[in-house]
Amino acid sequence: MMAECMLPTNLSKEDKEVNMDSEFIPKINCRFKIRQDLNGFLGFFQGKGVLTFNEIGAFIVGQMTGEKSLREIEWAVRKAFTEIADPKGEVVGIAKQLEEAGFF
Amino acid sequence: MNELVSLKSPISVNFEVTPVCNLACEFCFNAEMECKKLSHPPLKRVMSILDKLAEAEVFEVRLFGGEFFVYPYWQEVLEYADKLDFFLSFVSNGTQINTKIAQKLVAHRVIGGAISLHGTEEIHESITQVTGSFNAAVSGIRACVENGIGISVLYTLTQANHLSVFDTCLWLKENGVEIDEINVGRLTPYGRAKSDWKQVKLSLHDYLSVFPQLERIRDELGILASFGDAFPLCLLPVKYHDYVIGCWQGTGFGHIDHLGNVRSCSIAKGSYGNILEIPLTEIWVERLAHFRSLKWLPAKCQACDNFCGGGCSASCYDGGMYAPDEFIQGRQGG
Repeated sequence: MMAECMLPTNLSKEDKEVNMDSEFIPKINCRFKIRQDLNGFLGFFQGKGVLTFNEIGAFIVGQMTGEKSLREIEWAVRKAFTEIADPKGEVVGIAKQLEEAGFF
Repeated sequence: MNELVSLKSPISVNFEVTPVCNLACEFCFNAEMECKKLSHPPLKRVMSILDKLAEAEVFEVRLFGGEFFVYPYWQEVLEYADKLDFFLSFVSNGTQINTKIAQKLVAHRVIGGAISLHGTEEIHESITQVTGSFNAAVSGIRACVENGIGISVLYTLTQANHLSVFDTCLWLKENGVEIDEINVGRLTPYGRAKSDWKQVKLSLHDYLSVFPQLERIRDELGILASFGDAFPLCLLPVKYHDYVIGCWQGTGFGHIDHLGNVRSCSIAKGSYGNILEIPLTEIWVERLAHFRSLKWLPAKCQACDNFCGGGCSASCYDGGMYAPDEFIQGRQGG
């Protein structure tokens, strides 16, 4: 879902652990924008770097602005991408990767 | 074979808002010998260029010159670029920046920038040819840092200063100038440096003498010190490979001059087209395809497992936009 950073970044792991239950409200801790590119999506995270995503990953990350819980994001994914087999797994998987990279 | 990734437009651009500068650095790659005598571009054109960058969904605009802060309408540019929702940064000589300007930058969501400092006071001012420019630059750095703007120092290597990188950082440290990092850059045969290139150029040995200084700066001063441009990794001890930031020209990075011309590099001259005439996405996708194919590089670079971009194109005398590093020998590939 989320590819490796394609460019040098200053990503660092934070000590705090985030409880990734369904009620957790993810909020990316920097200003960011996502654009559709030739082969997938690019996310620019100010002061951190650039990440590449597929369409679903871009959708999920775009929801992580501190307004929706993981459960609500999962519902939004279900609605937008009806063909996905495990939307909860997709959402939690991305949240964990972002958390490990110090994005929350 | 190596090949560069194609994107629809740059992720980040250096936008030369004005070619005018208040200093006269002896190596300045920005071609014109009399930066102070050039004319500022009209604000309308600057805004049109920003509109085109926004249309192409460029993420980051680094306000560049000349010297951005001598542009009479720099505040209008800052406001307009912020309104277009760019991530904003700047590349400056720092001499015009004070607390008020730093606060203005913060108000427009600037969290980082780069300021040139080419040595300790005597060396820096022998390069800029302007008395007082060292203290003015340091004052600019302090104003930024005190207002929460992270500063990267840009240090262009010359014969006069390549052995003084550590001393410069030591001076900054001892004088409480808290920079985020220092990036040393290549001296290139463009602009003022071109005319007497054989006399002023740095040797491979000169460059290799810089890396142990970067190591000391990291280890002893706790400052992130890196080689900001590309450098042939095949000529560098492995222990220093991680010190080279490298270059992402032609993929994620582009340069837009004050007329709207697109380049892949801020230094190497030429143009792939003008964004006031042709959409940037068209220029970036179609006209840089040959560049990204890397067929202009020596065959050994095209096939190298430890790809470094063939070093720095801008370092090659008369190399133009398709040249391997000055220290890489070999015939071009197909």
